[in-house]
Amino acid sequence: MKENDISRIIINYMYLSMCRTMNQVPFSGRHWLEQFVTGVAQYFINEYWDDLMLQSKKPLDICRAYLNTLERVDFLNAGDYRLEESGENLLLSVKRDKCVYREYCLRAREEGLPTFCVRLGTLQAILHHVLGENFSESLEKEEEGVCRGKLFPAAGPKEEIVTREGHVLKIAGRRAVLLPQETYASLLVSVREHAPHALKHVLYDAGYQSGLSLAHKSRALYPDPEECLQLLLEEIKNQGLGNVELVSVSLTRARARIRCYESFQVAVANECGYLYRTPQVICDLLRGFFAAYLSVLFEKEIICEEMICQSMGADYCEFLALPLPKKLLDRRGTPWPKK
Amino acid sequence: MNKMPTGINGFDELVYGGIIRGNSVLVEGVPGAGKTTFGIEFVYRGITQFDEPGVIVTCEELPESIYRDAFNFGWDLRAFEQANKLRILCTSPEALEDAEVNLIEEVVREVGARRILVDSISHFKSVINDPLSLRRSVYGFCNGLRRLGLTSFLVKERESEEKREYAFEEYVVDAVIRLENKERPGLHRHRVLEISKTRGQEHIPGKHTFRITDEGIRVFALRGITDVNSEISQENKLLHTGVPGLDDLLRGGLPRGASVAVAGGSGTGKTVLGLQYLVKGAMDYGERGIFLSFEETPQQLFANARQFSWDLYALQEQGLIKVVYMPLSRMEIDETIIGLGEQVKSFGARRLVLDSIYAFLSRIDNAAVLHEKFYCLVTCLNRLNCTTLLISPAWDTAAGGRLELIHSVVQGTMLLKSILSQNRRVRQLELYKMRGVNHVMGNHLLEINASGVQVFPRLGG
Amino acid sequence: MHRAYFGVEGLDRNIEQGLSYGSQIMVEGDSGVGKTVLAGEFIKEGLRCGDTCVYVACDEPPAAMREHLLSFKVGTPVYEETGRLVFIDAYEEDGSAEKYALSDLRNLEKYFALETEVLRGCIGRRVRLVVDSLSTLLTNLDITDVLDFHRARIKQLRKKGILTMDIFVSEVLEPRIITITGHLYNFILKMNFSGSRYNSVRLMQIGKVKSQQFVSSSHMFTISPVYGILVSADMGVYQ
Repeated sequence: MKENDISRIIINYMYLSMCRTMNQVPFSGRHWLEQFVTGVAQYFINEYWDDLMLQSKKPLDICRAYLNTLERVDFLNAGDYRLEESGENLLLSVKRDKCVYREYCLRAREEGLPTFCVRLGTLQAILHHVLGENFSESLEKEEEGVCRGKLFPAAGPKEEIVTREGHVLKIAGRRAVLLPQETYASLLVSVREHAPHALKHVLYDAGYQSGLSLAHKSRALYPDPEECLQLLLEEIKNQGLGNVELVSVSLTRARARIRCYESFQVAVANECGYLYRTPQVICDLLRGFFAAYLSVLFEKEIICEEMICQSMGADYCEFLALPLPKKLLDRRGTPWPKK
Repeated sequence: MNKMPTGINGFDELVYGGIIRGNSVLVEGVPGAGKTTFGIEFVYRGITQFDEPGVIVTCEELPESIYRDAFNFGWDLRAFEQANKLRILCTSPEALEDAEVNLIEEVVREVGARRILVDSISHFKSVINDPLSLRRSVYGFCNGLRRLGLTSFLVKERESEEKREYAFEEYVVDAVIRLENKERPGLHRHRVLEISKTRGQEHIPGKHTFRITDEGIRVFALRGITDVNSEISQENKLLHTGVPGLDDLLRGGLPRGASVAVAGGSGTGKTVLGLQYLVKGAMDYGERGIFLSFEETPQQLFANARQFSWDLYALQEQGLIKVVYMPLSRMEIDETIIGLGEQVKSFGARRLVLDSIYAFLSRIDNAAVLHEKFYCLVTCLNRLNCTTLLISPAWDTAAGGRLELIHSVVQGTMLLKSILSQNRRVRQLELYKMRGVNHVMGNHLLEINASGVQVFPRLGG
Repeated sequence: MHRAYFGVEGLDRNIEQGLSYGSQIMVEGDSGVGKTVLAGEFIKEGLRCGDTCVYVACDEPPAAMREHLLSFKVGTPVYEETGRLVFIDAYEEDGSAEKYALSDLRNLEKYFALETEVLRGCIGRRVRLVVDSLSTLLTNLDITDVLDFHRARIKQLRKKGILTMDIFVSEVLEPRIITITGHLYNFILKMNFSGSRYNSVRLMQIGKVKSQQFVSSSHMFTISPVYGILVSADMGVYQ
């Protein structure tokens, strides 16, 4: 394929458009984008792939053979892609300006869309086709115009985050419900009426408990803590709880600063009335989530406080998370309820 | 008015620039008062600074001793003679008295002299017995010098210090300078100069100390310094003392330029307070300060400051603080005051600590003189807008009311005390007086801890 | 205008308009009745409301309050790091590891200077100040000194808009001092044990609310390790 071949450009546009569309899909946009990419690859595989070309069933050889196949049909130059093994992982690197999908990739970044590498996606497809195994992909930061990514065996069967089967809605394979704001607000108001002193504890603990199970599950899929955290925060966004942003994180010091714009809780307060007598921080549910996520990812007890809240007039809610002082842990055991 | 600067350090300030040209000046004093040196320097400065050749007429010393004396100050008179800038005339009084002014006229013409020193005219007396003719003779002599366009210094011996004899010479000449070598309390002597008359021009009256230094005479014109620099604008902003709590008592701080006495017995924390005032001023407000110590050496002060983690040495290296040590034995009051003014000005000091004014008290037993010196010091510092802490001995122990006198000159007084309360020794601070500040009265707790002095204002009215 | 509450449901319900910043609260009560727990509630509420909380520990080291708050899942390190929670150690005297420590408990001037210094660092923020307990600082002092200190301090705190809670342990000070000092407070809360020795209950009673109506009945309360102080009425439904 020629460098400036219009059909290659149009393929890029297609992915870009899909990416943008998927970003507007309420749930699991990344998952659906992945499905598109592997779907396209599957059609190609059905027509052009021959297992006989394989030298071995090592992932490295499978991917090489697949790239050679693509070269044979003049779609790309297999030599542009460098593949190497690193333990169970397969590392791929390519010069940015040699990548077939560069326009899509660059524009998607510019537009702030979730990044998903199509090339790695197709390799996932061929690995699944040949080996029947699922692989996950992750993209590392590119430097000096070289893109680096990796494929690694997925820990379990790949589970889509939100799906619907008839009338049953599922999140991560478990049944889920969609609650309108009013219902949620009513729930809180009822708690306040029956046990006003318990309200903030209820919210925090609810966040913490549910956050723990989600975090453990994600951790299994994404071993890299920072990437896993990003994904978990992405999910909060996807679930409509607020536009969460990781401001800073230090794995070594086990601290993080997270911001949330337009938190769901703030919207509920604005529309359905305030839960407390005075303006104060109210996003205890989110606080619980973050504390749970970070406790799992940092592998130690983390406390998270909401320092400022949009409901008090700030531009955003800001959360600070730090490890629980060790001295206290030793003396009292774990003061945090664990499931 | 055509004035001739003498070139003698500090002297010209006393006569507002110099002696009127053609005038004759009588320099009188007891032996050893420095008359000859005064006269020689007058001639020497004329040659070197103003290109005015001179003549020295001596009746009592041999030229050799004059050369030698001058050479002690590094003045090579022989070289000037060879360069035709100077003539030294060694003659007898008889020769002078006779209408032999021609002898002088000759040498004056030779070098084109403008200045003359006659050492001394007392010898006229020894050859002329009749007072009337003596007077006429001296008068004629002086007139002769004036005719030659000479400005003259005439040396006259005085027999004793106590007796003031208004001799006829004083009427004949245009100006009279008296030199004294006075005794002071303790083992101290000092030289004093007084201009008792200047015809046709003004001078600063009073006694002024002077010193014969390696480079000649230096007059300390104390009165002069209070008149200069008055154009420096006064800032209204208060100055933070750097002592926590003290500014609260002062309702913000000290008025700029104020001199404040810090009085207290030993161990009440006066020196620490002074050090803190400078250190915090330098570190927190970037203000330069001088510590003038008459008692502790810089090393002792550095060590003292280190106890509070203040690196005085480093601050001195950075040019923020200057520690000046002057041992009591070498201290001259007027010189110190003038030197201090100069240092404050050249260093750009906004803060000054003087530790302690006992040095002044020990030198001066006359209350009026003490008052005057202090007035000069305080006024000078005030003009320079330098806010000063004058560390002083405890009020009650100071000799006979003299300390009260000082407190009437300064703008403020802080008393540091050490009292026993419930069997514990407690330090206290009282703002006894602070001109222009509605300060908090009464005793307040003062503590010295690792970070320095802290005052805890008493609660309630 | 911001109003402040204690963060104790059954108590807050009794002060509908809340308290203004610059008010002074006197909490007087028996030893062990839960004054420090109330102080903890007050601080927790303050932290949630964005206030800066200053806690003066006179009867226990500051670490005790730190742990108390942590046991309620309040992330004290986060707040201390951001300067929102400040401890003054008025317990250890020499050898305190705290940033702010009172080296000498015998001089009220020194306490006043330290308190002023800490509050100076909070200018421009809403501040809650808790002294636990003030009665400890005032013991063994001359009554005129106490009153001078008290008047000067309360005046300053009011001027600075500091919401203050001063705790007094019952029977530490002369009743006369309590009565006179009480005049300067906007709000007085009494906490004590009642009932028999074998079946005692905790009671709290609002003794005074300046320029507000209040019900002066006693409320029974308990201390829960999760919720802190629970005034008995909170347990039921109310509207």
